[in-house]
Amino acid sequence: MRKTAVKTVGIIMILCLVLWYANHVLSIKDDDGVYSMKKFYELDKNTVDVLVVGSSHAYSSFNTGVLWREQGISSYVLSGSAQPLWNSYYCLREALKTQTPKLIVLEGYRVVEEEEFVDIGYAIKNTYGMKWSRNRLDAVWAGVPQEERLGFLLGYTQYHDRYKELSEEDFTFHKKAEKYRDWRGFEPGMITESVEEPDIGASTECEELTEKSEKYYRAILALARERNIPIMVVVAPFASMTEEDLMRFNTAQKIAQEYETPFLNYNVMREEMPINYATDMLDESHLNIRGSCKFTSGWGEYIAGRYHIPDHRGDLAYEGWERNAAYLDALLKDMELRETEDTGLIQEAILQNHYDVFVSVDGYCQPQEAAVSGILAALGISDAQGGGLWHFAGGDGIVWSSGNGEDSRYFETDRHDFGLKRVQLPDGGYDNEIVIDNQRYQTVENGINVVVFDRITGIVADSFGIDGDDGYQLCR
Amino acid sequence: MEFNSINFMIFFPVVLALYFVIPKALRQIWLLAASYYFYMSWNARYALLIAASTLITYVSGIAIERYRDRGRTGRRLTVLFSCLGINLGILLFFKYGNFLIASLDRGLELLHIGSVDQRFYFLLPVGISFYTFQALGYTIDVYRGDVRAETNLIRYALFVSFFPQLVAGPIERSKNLLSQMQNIAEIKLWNARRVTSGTILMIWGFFVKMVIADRAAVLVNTVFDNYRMYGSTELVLAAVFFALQIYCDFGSYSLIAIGAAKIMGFELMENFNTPYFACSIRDFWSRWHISLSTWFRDYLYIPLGGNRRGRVRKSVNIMIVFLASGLWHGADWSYVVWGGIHGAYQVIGDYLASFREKCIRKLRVNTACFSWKFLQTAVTFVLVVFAWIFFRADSIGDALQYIRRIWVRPTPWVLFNGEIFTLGLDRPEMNILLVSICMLGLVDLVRYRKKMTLDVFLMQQNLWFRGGIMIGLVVLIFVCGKYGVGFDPQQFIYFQF
Repeated sequence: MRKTAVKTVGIIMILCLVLWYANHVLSIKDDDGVYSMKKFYELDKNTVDVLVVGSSHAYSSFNTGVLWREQGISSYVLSGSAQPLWNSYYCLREALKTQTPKLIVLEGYRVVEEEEFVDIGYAIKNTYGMKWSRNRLDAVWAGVPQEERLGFLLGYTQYHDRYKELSEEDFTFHKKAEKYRDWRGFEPGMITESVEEPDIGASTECEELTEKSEKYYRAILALARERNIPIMVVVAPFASMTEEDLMRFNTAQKIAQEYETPFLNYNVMREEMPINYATDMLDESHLNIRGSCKFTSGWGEYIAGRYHIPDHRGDLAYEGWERNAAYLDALLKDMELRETEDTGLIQEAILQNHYDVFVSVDGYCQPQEAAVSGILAALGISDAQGGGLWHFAGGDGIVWSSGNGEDSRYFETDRHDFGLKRVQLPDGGYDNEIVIDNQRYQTVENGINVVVFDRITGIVADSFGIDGDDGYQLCR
Repeated sequence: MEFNSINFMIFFPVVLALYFVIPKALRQIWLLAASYYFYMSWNARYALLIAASTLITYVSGIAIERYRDRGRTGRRLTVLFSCLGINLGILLFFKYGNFLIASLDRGLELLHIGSVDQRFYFLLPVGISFYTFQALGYTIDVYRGDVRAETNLIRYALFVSFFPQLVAGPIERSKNLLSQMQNIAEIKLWNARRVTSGTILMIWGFFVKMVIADRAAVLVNTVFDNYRMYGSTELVLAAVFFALQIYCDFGSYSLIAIGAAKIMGFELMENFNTPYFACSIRDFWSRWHISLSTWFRDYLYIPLGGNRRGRVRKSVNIMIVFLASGLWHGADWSYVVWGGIHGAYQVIGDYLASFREKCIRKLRVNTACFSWKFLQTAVTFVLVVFAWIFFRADSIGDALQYIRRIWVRPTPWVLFNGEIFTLGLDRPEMNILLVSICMLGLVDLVRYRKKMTLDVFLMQQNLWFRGGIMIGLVVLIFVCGKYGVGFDPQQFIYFQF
């Protein structure tokens, strides 16, 4: 009997272990809502001074790097796409278990919510990151229709069939990409969409919030008051605001006044927030990284002058914020490089210390052409006649070139693989290959190809060519 | 409450845990309460039907036995036929009411005599065919004197409503299950070997249902619901997959039922025995839905005279049994045709037997080798799959169109150009399905060759192997099983019967 019991328990334990690992592998690891919560749990206690909750408007607008760089404020954006106020409320409750911020910020866009339940995908994003707790249970209860709650609580039933979309990061316990090392929840928008500036006016009319939204909106304000933590409601700039939205924001503002809470709707405070809707937007609803820098810079000044939030710059306990800011700085520079068309500016930009630049001179190329020679000279490449491959490491200059008895070079960093290869073709010509993480980069066949890899962000910051077949024009 | 639902995952362990710890005297009452709760989870009101059926057959059993003891043959017969009449009447009304009216309408329409503009609007009570047949089997057994009438109403009610096999069989015999229930207090519950064995059967049942049947159903539904859009390859593939789906679907229910009962100390009868390894249609029916086939054999075919009254009468009896079996499966003429096809296979097979023998002798075919056996099995499988088309299609007309398209729309290239992965199952899903079918084939092969069910086979193996297989299956169910949000759970197909 005893022996049987031991065997049975042993098998059940192994089964549980395997299922636990399967659960880990298959679980949803979206940045959006889920992973941002996981990273939040990893923070040291009481290190977050400004905590932002809200929807995608929050994670695309509040740039944690800018707030650190300019004000020395340690902040975290705990948000998820379409995060309704009931999820913001329970996220906040959960967050306050380990952090006592000096300021809570509710990004208030979702006061416009009209539905009783958001789509199941959003509900997943906004609850699955939370650890098992009363808050998670309540968040599911508030955010999921009754008939789906049981399956939802089990979690596994929602994502067990992710086996078709597994990738490397599903098998590791932490996401390895550079972005996540010191991530603080800000999700930079890396493209630009030129959108029309909204023309809504400044109506003061009000429209009621839904009963559920108002209940949780008040609950958030009351929670902050109960914990004696200052709170403010901010509506970040976006271009798709309607008159109805504005009327609901006005209602939300009135409610905020009841709680003596500042309410900043930057969509009607245009003069204080000079957003350029042609260059600063990711899409109609969200700021891109450039817009987030402008927004956070202005808003950061506002809070620095009104709240007693310490400047932690130089404090070793806050190194993570410093690295996060460096990452975001680099990301912005990557974006600017990609958007630059001026070869003169490019020549300067690619010389930064955190760049690895790979250059190939391919096919029929005249190195003496101004556009080509400018880039080659900037990188210190003197003998490009006849083609070749070069590796320029920022700070170290040329570290490898083909033709010195070596026609190929492979090297790796902790996460990335690089391959440079020069192969002679049967017709006597050469084929130059620049491969990074199994992807080959070649923009032009005749001319030069330049690939810029950013060691801080871990991404190919830019890949362009000077096309000999097109009058030595820049092309991407 | 389907077996593959979260509700059952909670229900069964709770029932089991209490069953194991409560006093022996309460076991019957507890299982009866659990069984009624299980049944009422579909529709509480229909518990009245099963209760009525139970009460009628219970009283009839006692009355029949009493009249037999007193030598009152006429009254005994009257009670028997009254009982059969009432129970079959209930079945007829709830299951075939609308079918009969629709058929009558059709007939009147053909004769241009108006129509009966009346339909019944109620849900078919789950498992009504199963428990009605089980209860009727008991009544006939008592009439024949094969078993004593059960005087304990609770025990009898449990026999009729025992939850593992209540809604989709196996259709148990009173001689087997009722006698075990009479000794319920003697069952030694803490028997590790038996519990492990039952657990293995349940796990395998869940695997077959959730990984194979419900996955195959995706492709089957895609093609059958739009068969006019597909050619021969897709249509044949869907028909073959349906053969696998229905086997896995129904077989898995029986496996889970047998496993669950086993854990509780009851041995239910076998219901499936590697049917697709059958080498003739008769052999197929000795392996497929055994509890129903033997029910029809014992309570219909043999009373009709079986094969004792000449060749023609035997053929008629076979056709009656198979048409009835078809009708039992569903209230639609396509089921009757399906049954008729199987009946016809057997009748024609009987008439061609001597001709076949002659051909084999003349052509000097070696029948004592694998290739002959393989040919027989393959031909039987093709015949069975052909008949399944009528079973699955929405109507006889659809089935005929489906078959016509197989002939007139050849699309062999679909096998190679990747279109096959657009039938609802993409490449990874198809790979999982094919690997799972191979596993099923392997298990059935062991069963066929070694005459061992999976639980018996695994219980003979070392712990690491047995444990590894069990863990592997559970993980596969959890990962690759069809369940959760976005998945429309396929009810066990046989629930509708």
